[in-house]
Amino acid sequence: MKDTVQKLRRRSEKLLRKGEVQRVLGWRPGRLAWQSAPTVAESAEEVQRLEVGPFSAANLTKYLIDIVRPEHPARDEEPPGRTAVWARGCDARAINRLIADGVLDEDEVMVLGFSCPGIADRERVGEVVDLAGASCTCWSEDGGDSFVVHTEAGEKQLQISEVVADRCASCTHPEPVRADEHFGGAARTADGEVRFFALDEYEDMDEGERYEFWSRQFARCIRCYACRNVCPACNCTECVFDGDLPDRPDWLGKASDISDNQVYHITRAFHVAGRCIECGECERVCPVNIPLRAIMQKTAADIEELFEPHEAGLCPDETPPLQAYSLDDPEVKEEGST
Amino acid sequence: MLLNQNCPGEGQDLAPAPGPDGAGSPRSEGGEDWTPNLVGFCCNWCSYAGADLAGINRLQYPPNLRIIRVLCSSRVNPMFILRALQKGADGVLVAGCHPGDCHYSTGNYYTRRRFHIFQRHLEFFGLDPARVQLEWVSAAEGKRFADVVTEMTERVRKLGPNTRFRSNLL
Amino acid sequence: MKLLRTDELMHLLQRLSDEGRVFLPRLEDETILFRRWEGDSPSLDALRAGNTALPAKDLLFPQTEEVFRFVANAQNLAIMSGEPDDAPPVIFGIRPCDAASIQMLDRVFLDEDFPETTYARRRDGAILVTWACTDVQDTCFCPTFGIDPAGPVQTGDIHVTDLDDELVLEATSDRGGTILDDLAEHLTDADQGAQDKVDSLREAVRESVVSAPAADDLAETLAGMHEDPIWEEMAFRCLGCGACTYLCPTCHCYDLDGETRGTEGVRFRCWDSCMFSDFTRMAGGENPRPTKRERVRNRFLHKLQYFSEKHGVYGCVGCGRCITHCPACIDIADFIYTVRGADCDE
Repeated sequence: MKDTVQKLRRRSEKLLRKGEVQRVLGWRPGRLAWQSAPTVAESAEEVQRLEVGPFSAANLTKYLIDIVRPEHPARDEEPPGRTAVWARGCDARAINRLIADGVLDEDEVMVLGFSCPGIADRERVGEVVDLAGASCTCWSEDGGDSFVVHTEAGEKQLQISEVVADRCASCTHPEPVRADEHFGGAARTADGEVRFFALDEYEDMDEGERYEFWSRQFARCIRCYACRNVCPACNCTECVFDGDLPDRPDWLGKASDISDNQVYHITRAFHVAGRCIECGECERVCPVNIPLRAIMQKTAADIEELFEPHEAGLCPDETPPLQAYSLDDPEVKEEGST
Repeated sequence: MLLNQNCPGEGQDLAPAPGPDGAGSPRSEGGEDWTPNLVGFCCNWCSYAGADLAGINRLQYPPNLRIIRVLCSSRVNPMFILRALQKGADGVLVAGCHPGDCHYSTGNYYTRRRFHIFQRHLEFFGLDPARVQLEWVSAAEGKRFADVVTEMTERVRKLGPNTRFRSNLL
Repeated sequence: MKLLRTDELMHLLQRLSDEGRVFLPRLEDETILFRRWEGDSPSLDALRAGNTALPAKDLLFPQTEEVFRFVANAQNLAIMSGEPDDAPPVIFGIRPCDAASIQMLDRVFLDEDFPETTYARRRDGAILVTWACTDVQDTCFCPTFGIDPAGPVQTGDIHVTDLDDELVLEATSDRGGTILDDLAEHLTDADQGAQDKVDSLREAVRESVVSAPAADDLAETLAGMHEDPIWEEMAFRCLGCGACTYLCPTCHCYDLDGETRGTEGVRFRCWDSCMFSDFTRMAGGENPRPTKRERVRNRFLHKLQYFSEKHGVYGCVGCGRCITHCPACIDIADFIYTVRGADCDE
């Protein structure tokens, strides 16, 4: 992976110098070893700080929305031009999502793709090595998917596969499905069988147990909206949950009422149904560990079972399943209640 | 504690009264005489007309369903259904034209797909799918409308008052 | 200094439950949260695994709180004030940073002339049993604000130091002293050996703070940075969620809203976040903080400049929750280093 990063930097610098892109989106290390912050580089100097590491978890595409749709249009009078994005498999799918949703034009983005070995789960790494006081984490020189944590007690080498995040373990497209240029990397082989493994634990719950389980999760929800704000599929200019408008009532207030929390999560799951790229960012960012990925995946599994095999974000001109229909769709009643 | 000291003890008089037929009080509290509160979203061209026909023909069916007319079943936003459940509905019916007969050609095809996913969501979170149903009723099917409501009322009555997703605030 | 055997913690909790509703950290689906003590035998795992995900501010300043209800008919209107809690909170296991944050909430809500009544009622009877940190995270930086992660918290009532088999208890208020007196039969005096152990543990904890920038003249420096380009850079990666504000023990912004239903209604107060896009939107649509740049700038200046100018203390306690949970790795400690032009290992 280390040479992939070098190649990405060199190409990014060149693209900026020649004016082919106006900015490059990538990550850069933070103060602490596990921090990898989304960042934009607009000069060769800034490109040198860009780094994709084993903890580069954040999806970069949400920031494309801010670039092409500035919050305060009057302030930004120049057209945004073209943005290059360092893209893993999930970033590429997210970009397709934005193009398919009409938020982004193809010519506004240039995808610098690379094969992703997966992201390290911070807690799993913490069980094996003390991250506090570690100065940095970076890819090993010898390639592959191993990385090194530099700690005060010395260096520790780990394989991503040993500490990989669940969402990466169930990834079906670690190779970017679109890329203007490709920079190598160390992809995992996607195993279609593992896509829905997160759902296994809900198989044996009965209705009452499921209600009790999910109510407990939603009772913890503080309605910070981190899950919504990080999601590439949540790209509406006005969200139904942003209220406070004087001319019409709110669907939901800001009160943390468990039934309002339930309504929020069910509604969001429905709004992204068929459009979710299963990147797992929602679950990563939840401060109270609600298993949101399971909800999104349950929806994806239902769509596959009821209608047609589908994975969102594979093409920029896809029609999401809930924006389509078939004359042969199963009747709701044919099922009976389970 | 009543802050309005001019009317001590009138808090009880101010409680919301049950509906005129005695059934379906705003909050289902259960008990022997309890009957379910059902909310029905009926499309203007078929199912609402079917309900009208049932009325014209004096067909008897339980008075528990409160009908909200929409132009097409695909207009129904899942948040309507959720809100109805939050505010005390024990069951929600969405009724539209038979597939192929939609006044807007394709609306009910979307309803069928989307409702299916939405019902699965509710089921995943622990709501009995029998409480939220989709039915096709044409304008000529007065009897069918009556039957649909009768069956659903009975099914939901057996399930008892719904306590899930209920709003605690109000 | 008194000693209590760790397996006899139950006695302390039982005595504390005479004073109010006891809350302590519990593990729930991998998340550590303050939960009501049910009278069961307490597990210390949740107390030894780092700070709670959500601070204790919810116990004094609830996320949603009913202000009043009303019912009306043609002739009359009845207004019922919000239900007061039946007993004040006893917060067991609150860390020094969070205990310090309560001081800041006091400055906001316990105004001399117009104290916030429900907060005052809860606060007045509240008991804080502080817990010395022995598990400092790399995100912690409480020393920046003069907070000691290990030593007794003078604004609490009882301070607990975990020595594994034994807990060291120190009364830090008269109420705390009374409680410990009542427990005399279960406590032994700490001998010099225990005293030494505690002292060296405290030193070790203080050393284990990975990086905590010195605050020095931070507020003055920030006062000159209102138009600095750093705000654009930080705002760029902010997603505009409210995670930082809701997890923050000192954040206290709220909204008043209501719901009506026919002839009844309820008015409630709930947390709000200055990071939400509509936070400062006014009737008519005008919004003085229209983009993330203004909102991110406001958040940092409020905590690190305005609060200091108004109250004499910084509005941050270095608990590090925002650093741990920000989806985009926005780091307030890193920001302080940058503003002061200092290296991260000073």
